[in-house]
Amino acid sequence: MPIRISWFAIILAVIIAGLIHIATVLGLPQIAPRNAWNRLSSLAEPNKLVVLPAASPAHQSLPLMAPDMRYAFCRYDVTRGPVRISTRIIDELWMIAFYRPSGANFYTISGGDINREKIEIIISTESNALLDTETEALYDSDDVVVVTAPENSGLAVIRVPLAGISYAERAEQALRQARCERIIANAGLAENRSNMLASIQRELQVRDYHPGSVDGAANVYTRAAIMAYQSDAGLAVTGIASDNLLRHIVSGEADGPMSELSGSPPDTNDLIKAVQQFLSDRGYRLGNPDGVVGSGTRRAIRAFERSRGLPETGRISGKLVREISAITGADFADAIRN
Amino acid sequence: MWTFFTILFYAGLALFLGLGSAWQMVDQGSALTTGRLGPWSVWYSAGSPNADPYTKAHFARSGRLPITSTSALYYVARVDGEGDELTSECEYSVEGTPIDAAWWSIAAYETSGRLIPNKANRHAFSSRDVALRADGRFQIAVSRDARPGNWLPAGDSDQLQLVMRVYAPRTTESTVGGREVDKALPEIRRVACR
Repeated sequence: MPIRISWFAIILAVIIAGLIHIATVLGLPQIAPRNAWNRLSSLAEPNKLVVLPAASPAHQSLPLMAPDMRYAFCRYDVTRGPVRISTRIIDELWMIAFYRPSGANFYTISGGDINREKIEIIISTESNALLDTETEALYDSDDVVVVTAPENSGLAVIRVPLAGISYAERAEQALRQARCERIIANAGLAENRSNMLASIQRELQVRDYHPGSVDGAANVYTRAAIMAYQSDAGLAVTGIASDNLLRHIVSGEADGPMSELSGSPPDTNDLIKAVQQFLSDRGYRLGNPDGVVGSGTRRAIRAFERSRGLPETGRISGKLVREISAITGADFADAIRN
Repeated sequence: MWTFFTILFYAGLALFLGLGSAWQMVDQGSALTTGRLGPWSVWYSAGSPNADPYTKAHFARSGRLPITSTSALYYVARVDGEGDELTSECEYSVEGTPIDAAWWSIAAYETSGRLIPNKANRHAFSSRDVALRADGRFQIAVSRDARPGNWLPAGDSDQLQLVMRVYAPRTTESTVGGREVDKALPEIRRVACR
């Protein structure tokens, strides 16, 4: 079978070869199944620090791992708030490198750069960074480095080049004590009420409770969002912000008895009463506006939600308060704002 | 009229040229992305967020996680100073002056990237544990059989590669187009073969 030789076909083949070349090179990072991100992701939960076993012929977590270095890494995920990495730094050789999932090393800090014995690194995206006041309240700012992550997840890798064999044990011990964790999960961090409120607002916001702005100031939307959360979680519906509530939102359980949650303070009563009054005025029957969410109130809220085309929840929430405010104008929120 | 075989021939040609050139430039590198310094090669934008597509593809495929060149440099040698492939059949002498950096290390691997099993359990020499000669230089023997002094076992693996890591190099990049570490890399000389 003869093959026709034509310049046109050769040039066409070369152009197509060029396109194949470009597609292959650009596509490789996406389809490489054994890239570092995939290899390390399978070794650890998000926001957990893992010390890799020393590289040996029998075991290497990554190809070309250095035999005379020790590694620890954290696959951070800041979707639900900032993550903190803390570690001791034994000497200037320590190096902490941050990577995007693609493997791009967007930030590196070494023991020589910071020149102190321990370091706290806070990773966050631009949108969920801690407020300056929060950072100041939490840390002696000299020890804190804030890293802005370009994406919600990535890798932080601590490398310890060994200064001699006897150094290995010390390095491994220090790495085992290093931590990687979500900041809010650390109990007792909210040092004053404003920080605590801001933290609760942020936690509720990422859970779609619409607490209004994250500003550390309690407003009617925040209170309503707290009540919605309490209602969902089967807690007494009080609308009160507390450290225990924050712990409950973050970890699903509270450390101590939620004693401060029993009984409703006057302003929460006011909010409930205002909602009851509003519903009652519009002809929903719920008994006396008594400031307590009972079955009558819940039934009335459901009916109201149904009439407004909202999902039926039967609870007081940021959404409900916003809906009522939209109907009554600013008066409603003003009437109960403290 | 084009025959089926003619079309197949040109399609095959396009595929061969496209994939072949992509593989060559991603796996081996090219003058655009890599430097060749005697036996050593270096990907200049390894780990950089602004790396070119070839460098990105190379490291995604390799599974490595390099630090950017301002903090760490990686040099890989698969050949000796003459350009012949490194093999455990031969003995090599790696000789140079200590590099001006916080830390550096020379490690031996199989070409697959795995460390070489050996009874001495020795896989690398670093700036902290390599023995220097009286003239301040170091010499590392890479061979299958034990050698006095700095001995880096080559094991039984057929082909091997050496990786030089330089952490926190104390260099000034004042000289255009050249890094001081690039010029201070050790030589790899073949001593004898079986």
